[in-house]
Amino acid sequence: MMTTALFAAFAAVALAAGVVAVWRAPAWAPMVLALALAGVMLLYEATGLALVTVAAVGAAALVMRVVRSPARAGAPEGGAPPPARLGARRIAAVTGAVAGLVFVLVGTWARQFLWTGRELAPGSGWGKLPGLGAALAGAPGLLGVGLVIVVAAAACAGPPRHRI
Amino acid sequence: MPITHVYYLASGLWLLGLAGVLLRPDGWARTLALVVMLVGAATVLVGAARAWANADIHGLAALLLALAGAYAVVLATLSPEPDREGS
Repeated sequence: MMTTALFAAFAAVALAAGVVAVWRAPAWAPMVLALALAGVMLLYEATGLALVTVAAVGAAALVMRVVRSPARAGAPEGGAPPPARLGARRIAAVTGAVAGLVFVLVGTWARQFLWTGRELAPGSGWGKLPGLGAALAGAPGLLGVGLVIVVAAAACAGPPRHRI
Repeated sequence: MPITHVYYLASGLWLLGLAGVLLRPDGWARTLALVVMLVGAATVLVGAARAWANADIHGLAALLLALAGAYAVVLATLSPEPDREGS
């Protein structure tokens, strides 16, 4: 129970850091993501990977921060221009692509991992379209995460740059 | 600790990164989104190593994480700074 609570906390921090990384792209987000994932890896008895995660992703975040610093970039005062809205077509295309991917991922993982080693009976309909639909219907959390990701990314994405 | 938990976390991170890659216009944000995708993929391997009790998979995951770090650094240093004049 305690382990599950710890995992939920680490996972929430990791997903929040991922959302921030995609939304605002700050240089510190990968570091927070790496630390949270290191906690998850410790829970899954991958201590070496926890160290590698913090070292590799953390070092990358540090370099990105240095590269991005105003002193190095020579950015003028006032910051970047505010992002504008995306087109409806682009959002619809990405939504369709992500939904299809979730569909495939859930079906594949359900067959590969949840029912590992179980032989399918001849003529079984498992893994076919109705089965995948049922699997998705049974994973409302994943569907919710996918929906939130698409909506949040669409809401915060910037427009194509204007060219003169 | 069920292994499915870590698969859901990994899929969330991977899809998050995918949405960022597809939707964000600038190279910097796309770089970060790609890092999130790679880290999500490495998280899948952590669950796989636990499921099959095979520590060899940790090596692959470590390679992937190192790749994500190196990839982020190279792209960050190569990506041009945003041009405030619009080009």
